Amino acid sequence: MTILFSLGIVRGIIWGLASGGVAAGIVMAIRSGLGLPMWSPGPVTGVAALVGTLGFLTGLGAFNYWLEWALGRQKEEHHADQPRWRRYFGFDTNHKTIAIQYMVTSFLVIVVAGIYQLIDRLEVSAPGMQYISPGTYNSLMSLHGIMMLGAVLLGVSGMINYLVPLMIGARDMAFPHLNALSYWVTPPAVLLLLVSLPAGGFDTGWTAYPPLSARAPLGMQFMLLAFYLVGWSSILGSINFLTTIFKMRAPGMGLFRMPIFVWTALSTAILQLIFTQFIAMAFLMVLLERLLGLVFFAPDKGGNVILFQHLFWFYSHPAVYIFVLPGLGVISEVLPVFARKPLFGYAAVALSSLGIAGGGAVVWGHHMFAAGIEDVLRVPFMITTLLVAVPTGVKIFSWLATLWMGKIRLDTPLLFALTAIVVFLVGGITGVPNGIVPTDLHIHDTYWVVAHFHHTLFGGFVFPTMAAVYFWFPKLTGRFLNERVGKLHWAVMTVGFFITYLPMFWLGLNGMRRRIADYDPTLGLGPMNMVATIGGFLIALAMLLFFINLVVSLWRGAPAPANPWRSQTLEWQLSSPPPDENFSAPPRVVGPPYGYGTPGSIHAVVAPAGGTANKGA
Amino acid sequence: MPKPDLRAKLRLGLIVFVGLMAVEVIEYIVGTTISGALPYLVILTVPGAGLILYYYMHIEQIRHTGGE
Amino acid sequence: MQHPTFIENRLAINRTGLWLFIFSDAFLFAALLASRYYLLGVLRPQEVNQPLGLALSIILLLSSLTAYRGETAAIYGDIRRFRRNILFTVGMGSLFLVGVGVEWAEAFHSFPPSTAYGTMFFTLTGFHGFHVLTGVLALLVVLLPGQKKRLAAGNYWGVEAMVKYWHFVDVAWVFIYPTLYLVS
Repeated sequence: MTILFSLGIVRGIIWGLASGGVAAGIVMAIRSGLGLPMWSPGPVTGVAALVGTLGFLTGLGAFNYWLEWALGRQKEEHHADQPRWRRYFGFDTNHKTIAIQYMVTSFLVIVVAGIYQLIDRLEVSAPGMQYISPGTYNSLMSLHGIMMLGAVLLGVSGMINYLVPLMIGARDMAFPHLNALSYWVTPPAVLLLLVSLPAGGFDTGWTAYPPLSARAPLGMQFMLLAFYLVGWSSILGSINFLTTIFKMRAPGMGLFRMPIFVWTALSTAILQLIFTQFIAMAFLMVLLERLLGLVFFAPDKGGNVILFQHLFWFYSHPAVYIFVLPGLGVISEVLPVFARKPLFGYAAVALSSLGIAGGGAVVWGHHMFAAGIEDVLRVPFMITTLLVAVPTGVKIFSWLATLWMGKIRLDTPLLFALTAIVVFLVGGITGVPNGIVPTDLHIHDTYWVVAHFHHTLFGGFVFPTMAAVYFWFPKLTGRFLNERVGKLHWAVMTVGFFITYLPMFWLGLNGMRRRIADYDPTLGLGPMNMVATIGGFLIALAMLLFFINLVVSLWRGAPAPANPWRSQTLEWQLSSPPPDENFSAPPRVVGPPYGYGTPGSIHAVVAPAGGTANKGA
Repeated sequence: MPKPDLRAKLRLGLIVFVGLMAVEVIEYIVGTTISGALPYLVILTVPGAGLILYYYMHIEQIRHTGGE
Repeated sequence: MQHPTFIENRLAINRTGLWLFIFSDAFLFAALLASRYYLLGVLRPQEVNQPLGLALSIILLLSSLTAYRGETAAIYGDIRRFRRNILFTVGMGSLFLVGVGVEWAEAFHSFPPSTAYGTMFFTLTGFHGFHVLTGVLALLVVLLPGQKKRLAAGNYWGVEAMVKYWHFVDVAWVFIYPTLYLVS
């Protein structure tokens, strides 16, 4: 029992429930004092959720450090006497712990959101309503969208958290306590998302457009609050990433010696830092409209629903680059190692990340071509949209040229990276008709868009993340993932993916609208929908294989040496798993990160814990 | 370069404040008397924000990579 | 071989982080200001209380001056002057909040939140007021007795951070004030 209560998360939950309950009581007391009906679900649960989150963080000990600072005390950190597993259930400031917390949370959310969509896929696999009501369909579909996006943000933060300090030769993030706070804001957010469904769900899709979102059931409010919290996690995280990259690089690690993944993390963090404020504000405005009767988006009272779409897409378009850039960075990390060649055009690839970020920031209007956007804005947005293809193309060509004439070893990480390139390329090409006004007007809100979007996210996040897990799992745990199960996982997932999403292009062109639970049987869309559903279950099977592989390999995988892939970047020059403090002394960076195939090429010299310098090769 | 002493810095702060007050009062007069004041106000906010950012918040710090 | 140890320039790291936070927070206000112009253009009702608006601006600018004086004094080790100035800043900040309260009471009658201008007015002043409130609390923190030892040791980062945040709140007002009271 005492062990249970000494876990930060248990104390946090107790504090959270207690403070949430007290807050709900106070709101009800105030309401009855004002002569309003005591129970009103919106305000009471909203305040309880926010106060409960703060209570959870307080109980967890998230604010202790700053409290001590304010009172003029500063305690020394020590957590070495704890058993290792307990760190993951408390407020631990080590970036590697936080990264694993992020990744595990991300995978859990992906499982839930995936199951939601499997239920929906079953429903639309044939015309007519079979299993669930249209309202439930809409709620599951909406939650699938927003939860997956939350999971992707968590996964991206997890990867950046683990790799960036190691890759630039830092001992930890710039602000470790802030880093832990950024993570611990997200479990309450996940809880709110899970509560959303029993609280009535919502039928707006993940985009939460008003006026529908202003009058959707209570579940809407939970989703808006949850994403507001995730947004703050994202902003605080980005401050940390940027400061770490700017200020904590090892001696000799010039900007153009950083591994590409760090460049993509940099671009991602810039986008998060600036644009997350806009979606936070947009969602907050909807909340204010729901709770306090403000009229931002009420057309009859001088509001304007298009305003929401501008604010929303001003974040949510750059957000897709937040989602995919680190994944593209992973591809750039994996390819040179398995092709034993330097990354082709390093500087161009590094800058292309910033180019994608900058270009992606000025294209948001292409989501609104069919929504009544000002006519003069259509063509400029079309042009900027198509221009984003240029820096993206730089990356694709660099990958192809890196593979060209390489000594390729087809291990699982590379297989996933190759699939990712193909999928991302299809996603990019099918995006062009979306970006061109005349074609977009026809395919807007059809399955074409769904297929395009899932191609970009699978190619830019899911497959690269799988590559990353297979690549860095030995570093994280000191054990290999099972290679044969890995290849089976890759095969099932790749096949399942194409069976799911290629038919959706056809469906979209033939008039299948997105976000509908039922369709006209005479359209002849049934068979293709059935194929897509079968593919969806194949992807689920592949994920199951993946999780089994993770758990079993963690327990009894083959032991991994420090540098199994003969990589040159800094994280591989440490033991597997790396020591708590990463580097015992600052590594000295002396060369480019991808000098494969060049005799004598060294990226960095790393000092081991107590011995002579260990040359990285 | 010898550091200017505390008194000189405090005086600088006061001068900046006078400048800010001047900007604000001009804004007020422009805003309450001229119709279609938006372009003038846009021009006026630049020195206002700039004075605070430069003299009070020391924005030039962000260019020193090593801090002070 | 001699290994150099990790030398972190904590002040530079902290400053970078704070500037990034301020930069990000600025976009919160940017979103609100953009919304105001998008919804309403330069429309402004006649009922806005012009003298009160000017008074609020002067109060906030004055508080920025004293915040600057307090920070400078802290850097030069003049602790008494520092406390005096920061206390004055806190007072001005509180006075500003009272002024906003008066303004809100009036606004409820002249342009209630259920009108477009009222919506933007209450949101902008509300968010800015929230920043003022947190700024006041932040400045109170550096006045806590526990902070004395730190200042005496020449570690004035806390003061610098809170004062920078306070100035940022003032900069935000420099944009909000004309947007709500003066444009036409």
